[in-house]
Amino acid sequence: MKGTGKPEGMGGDDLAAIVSRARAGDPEAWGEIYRQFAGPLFRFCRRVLPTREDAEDAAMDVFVKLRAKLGQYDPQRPFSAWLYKVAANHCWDLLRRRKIRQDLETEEAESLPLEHPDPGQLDQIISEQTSGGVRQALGRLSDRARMALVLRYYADMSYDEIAEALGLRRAFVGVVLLRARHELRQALVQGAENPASPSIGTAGVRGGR
Amino acid sequence: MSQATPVNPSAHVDEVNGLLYIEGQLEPAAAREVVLHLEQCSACRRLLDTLKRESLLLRAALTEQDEPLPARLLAPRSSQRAAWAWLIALGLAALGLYTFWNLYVDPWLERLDQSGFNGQFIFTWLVFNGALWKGWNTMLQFIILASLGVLGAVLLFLFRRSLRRFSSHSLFLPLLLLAALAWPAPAHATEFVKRHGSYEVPYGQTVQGDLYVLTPSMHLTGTVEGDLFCFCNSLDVDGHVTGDVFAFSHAVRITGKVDGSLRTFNGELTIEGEVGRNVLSFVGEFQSTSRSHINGSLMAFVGEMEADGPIGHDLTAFVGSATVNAPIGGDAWFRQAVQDDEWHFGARGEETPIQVTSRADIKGSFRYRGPLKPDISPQAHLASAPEIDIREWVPAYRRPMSYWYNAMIWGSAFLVGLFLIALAPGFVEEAAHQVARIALPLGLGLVMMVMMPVVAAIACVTVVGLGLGIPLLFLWVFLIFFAQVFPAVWIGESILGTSGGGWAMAGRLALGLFLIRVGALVPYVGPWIRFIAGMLGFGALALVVYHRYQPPAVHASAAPAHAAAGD
Repeated sequence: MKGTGKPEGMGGDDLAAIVSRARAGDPEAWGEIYRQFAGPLFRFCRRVLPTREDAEDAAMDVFVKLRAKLGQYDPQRPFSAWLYKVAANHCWDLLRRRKIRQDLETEEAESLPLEHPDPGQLDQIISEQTSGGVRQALGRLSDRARMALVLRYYADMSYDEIAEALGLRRAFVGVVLLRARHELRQALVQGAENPASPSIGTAGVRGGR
Repeated sequence: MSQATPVNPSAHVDEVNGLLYIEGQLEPAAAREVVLHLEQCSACRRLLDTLKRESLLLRAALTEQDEPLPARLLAPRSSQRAAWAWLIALGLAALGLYTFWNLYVDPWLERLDQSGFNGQFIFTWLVFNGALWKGWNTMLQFIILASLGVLGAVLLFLFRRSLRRFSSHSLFLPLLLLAALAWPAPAHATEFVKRHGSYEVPYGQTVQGDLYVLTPSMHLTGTVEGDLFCFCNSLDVDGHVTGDVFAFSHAVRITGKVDGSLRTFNGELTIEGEVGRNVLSFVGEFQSTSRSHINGSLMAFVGEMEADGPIGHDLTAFVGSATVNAPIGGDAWFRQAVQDDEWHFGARGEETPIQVTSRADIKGSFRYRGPLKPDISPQAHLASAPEIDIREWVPAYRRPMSYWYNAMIWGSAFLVGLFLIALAPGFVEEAAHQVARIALPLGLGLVMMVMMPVVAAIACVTVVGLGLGIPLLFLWVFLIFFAQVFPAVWIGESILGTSGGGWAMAGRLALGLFLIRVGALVPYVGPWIRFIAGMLGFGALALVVYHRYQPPAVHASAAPAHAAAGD
């Protein structure tokens, strides 16, 4: 079943009207927003955080934050962008507080040289992968790498928004994304050699905690 | 717009610029140079194609709806306002319980303590004092530890997110230790007697250790070197019991000597001999003759009382009528039943004032609360002026305290209901549906209400069943109070509908309980509303338990019949 990080079954105009009603304090409208975004938001948290339980908790917490901050939302911007920004900040704070895999997250990561890939080898890695395999490999990435990929390819965030969410200079976003892809390729190769490895976004629980 | 890595059209496109290019993040000039280079370089075209395919793969993998939405995310989270409502409701419930404790339980505990009923727990004080069953204290300890365990589990659940890093072993081991500590100690050596005719311990014969007797009538003229537990129609103690006597009998007569305490649940209690310590009695008629002597305190819940024999310490009595004709070493504290006219549709009962005769000599204070001024003889010796508090019967809705009382019941029932909903929402839902059948649960509830204490008593009497009988008795008391939770949920559902999750059900429970409590304040009808709610709850509970635990084969054949009965 394919989906997107977009709300489920709602046009932009409808959404704008509903959001403005919710901002005015209409609980029904809030319920509608909740129903539309619960799935996408949960999946966002599920891709970013280590366990399903973490993701459930985070999704609940993000909804509470969203409702509390609804007055601060600028209706000129897309609602989903604002929603994912709040979610990204929440999850990123959560991950940083836990200081998971700090060793992999040195501030100098961006300046390390990137090995140029052999297109043929890269092509082979990509051709052999399934969606499930990629999700499994994501679980083995550093938090920043995984976060960057999810923000870009799930939440469709702009480079500016990613820079703001991850506290990076905007110029480094491309490098961080590319580094994340390198980490992912490596994880995919390792995953193929050792298929029992834990993952994120599937039933597994990440080790190393 | 992007990072300024110069792109040379003759040089290969590096991977960063390739990514920026396919993502539309390159400056227009740099992008043009990439386009020019790609026209000539198949290797770079291939790299960029691969990067694009990688993007597609990533997007597909990340956005795929691979798992269902968790149940707790399916319904919108209750609003902040609702959270406040819950906090206020819980706060009120806690306040109600606190008030109940302060107004009712605590003064009585103090009173009991002063009266010589030492111990730590109210039930121990009131009934058993460790005497009915040697494992009693251990069981109480176990109940307390189990409660602590439940509380701990609830706290762990609430704080699970902060505690997630602890391993389960670190919790399991202390719990195991607690369980081991709470495991009941082996029972003492005792003698059990079960007779169809009368049983007698003749003069000169001594029973070593505790004696449990189940017989129509018992006559003791010998000696029991321990405690005596008697479940019989009539008990006569002419001889000597060195421990306590516990009697569950119709008629009890003490003409001999009991060194310990006497605790009775019976119709008539006559004391002509001596009781070394205290007497606690739930009895229809109580009489102590002038030859009798109670060295400790007397506490009685009694219809008619005539106290002619001296009492060493305090006399505390809930009475219908009483005559005090004896010296009392401590305080005399009377509370006379205010005829609860609600049950009698306004017909006032015959009330007799409490008589304190010229032979009375009360060394402590004399306090009375009730509907009629006590008749105190001018010749009676009272150490101080009597404190008399006359309470006329007024309908519940005009008594301010009854509002508190109902708020307290509402609060505690709500807490219990909330716990049940959290623990087994399906069970509560099912019970609420059973309530809707009205006639069946009502009838069954009535039967259950009568049968449960009987079964519990039988279990107790068979001695081996004490471990079953006593918890059953407590369950019964608990249910009398809290069975209203199920009809409350049903009432709430009838008004608010059945949609939503656990919190919605809790909301319906709160509303239903509120309506039951308001109904309970209505004159004349109130007691019936309470009674019917209790019966419906009892019956519904029994039905759910029956449906859940009956053998599958019976279930299959019984189902259509039940469905028909339900319609």
